[in-house]
Amino acid sequence: MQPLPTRNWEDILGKIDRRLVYIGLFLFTLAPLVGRWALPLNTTEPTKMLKKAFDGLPQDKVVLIASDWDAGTQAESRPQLTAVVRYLLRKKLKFILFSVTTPTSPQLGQTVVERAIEAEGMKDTWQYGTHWANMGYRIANAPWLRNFARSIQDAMKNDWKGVPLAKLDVTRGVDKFGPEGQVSMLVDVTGSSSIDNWYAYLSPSKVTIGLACTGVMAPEQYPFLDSGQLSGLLTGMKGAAEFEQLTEQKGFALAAMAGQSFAHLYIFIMLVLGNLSVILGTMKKRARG
Amino acid sequence: MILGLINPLTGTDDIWIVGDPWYRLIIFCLLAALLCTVVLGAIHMAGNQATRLLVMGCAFAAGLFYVLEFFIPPDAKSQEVSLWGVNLTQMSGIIGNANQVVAGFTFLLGVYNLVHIHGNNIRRLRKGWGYSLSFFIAFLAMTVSAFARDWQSFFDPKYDELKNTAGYQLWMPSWVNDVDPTHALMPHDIFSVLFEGFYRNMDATMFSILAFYIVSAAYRAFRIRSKEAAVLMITAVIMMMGQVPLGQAITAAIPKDGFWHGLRIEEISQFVLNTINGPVQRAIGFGLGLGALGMALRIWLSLERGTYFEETS
Repeated sequence: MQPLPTRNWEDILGKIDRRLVYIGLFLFTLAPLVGRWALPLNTTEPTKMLKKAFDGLPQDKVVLIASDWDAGTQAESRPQLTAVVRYLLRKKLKFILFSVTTPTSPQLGQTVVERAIEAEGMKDTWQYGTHWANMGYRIANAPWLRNFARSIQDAMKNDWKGVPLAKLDVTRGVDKFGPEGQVSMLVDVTGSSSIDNWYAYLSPSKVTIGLACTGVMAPEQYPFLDSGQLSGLLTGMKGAAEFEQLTEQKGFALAAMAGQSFAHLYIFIMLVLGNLSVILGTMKKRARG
Repeated sequence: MILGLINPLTGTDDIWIVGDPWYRLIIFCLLAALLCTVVLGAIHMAGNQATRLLVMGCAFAAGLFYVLEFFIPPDAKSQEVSLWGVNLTQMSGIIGNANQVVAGFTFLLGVYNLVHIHGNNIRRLRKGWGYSLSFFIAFLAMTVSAFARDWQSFFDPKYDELKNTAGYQLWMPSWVNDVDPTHALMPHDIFSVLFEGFYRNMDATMFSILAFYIVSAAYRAFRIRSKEAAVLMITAVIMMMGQVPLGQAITAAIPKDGFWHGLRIEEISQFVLNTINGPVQRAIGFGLGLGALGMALRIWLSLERGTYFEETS
């Protein structure tokens, strides 16, 4: 019978079974959520900029929300949309929801808005058609986007249930973007690169553009913050949490940040363990000469 | 005249002869179908050289329209562009909406493709045919339940207004179309159960699996074996910890407004994003923009090699 091979620290640290790695991540993420651990959060400048942009909007115009996410990115996009909608409700700013990237987005956005209205206790005062509307999904190809930037009424003739825009108070007469038009701001809550469309087609209209994107997309957007094309940015769930904190909302994102914190800590620990095995291996090689 | 011709519902009578807009629409559809048949037939019957010329001509004409619409100075008052009496700005709107219709057909093509592939899997009892069967069950369940729920709203214009009033006859039972206002946030009908209960959670689960793979991949592959890898690792750790409260707590003792505030991890993380990442992203953006412009010109002028442009045997 052959003796079992002895495992040294280098192997133990460097070759942890992947199933153990998965279980560790699961527990590290779950524990803070179950324990409801609350951690203090610093608010970054792009989030403050977005709030400032909302604060400067006129009451007599509408905000267009491009809800361009599907269930895959809901951990980040859903709290972002919720936080933005709740703040618009508090500011009594009318808004119109639409989507250009995912066909399931209008349904997901609709649920978010209905729950936000419920959470703000405005179910009886904030009515569909009068104060907000859902325009549904449109396929964003370049010719349509050009038309949309030129005339909203021409590009979107009815809401997501087929009701003509002229029959809804909130959409009646809403046709142009920017200072001369009826749309004061466009906020893109997205899990894809849909914001590039708005830079290209809406920037000439001087409409204020805000963005709430997933964490991995945010680094690409900093040049646009610098240039002023973007008026504010929410980065992933952290952005949603910062916005909730800034606007004194008790939402999901703030509660979930502890889970994300510990997940990041876990990745850090795993990186240290992996690299420790490399260091031990190097030391052993040197000792052998 | 052209606008009237291609927009049958609002076009003028002198072009369309028939006054009723719905008859105009039917005639328009028939003429469009006839034209498409003639063009497609011509392409099919023509030789390679003629087909290539036709495709090149169409690509050039399509691109030229937007070039003209963009570069011709608009009318100072209306801000609309006209060329030889044709209002290109209004026409671009119609083309934009027509594109929506054409793009809509791609969904149909997608559905056909899925049905074809999974149908063959089941018919030939290929390995994993059970998954193909589950596709059909899921597809039909979502489609039928969604249409059944909204069916009445398509045909009854007063549905939304009256659906919750006593005496109003609903066509579907509550498990198909639940209009109970107390269930507004989560209707107890089959579509809501499928969408909110199944689809949303399953899609989120698929995406969240990525987190497990990322951790595993980072642990296995992110090893410092060179100076470059060390720089990358340090940056990654700063970014990762600077984004979350737990990481921010590491340097929380440094005053926010003091001289050393720049040493707080979230400040370092923002510095990396703004000062190092920003210019790099801008440079990449310029490169991509120039590349896209070059590519667009090549396609417009049919200089691009590939499908439709190569010699076919």
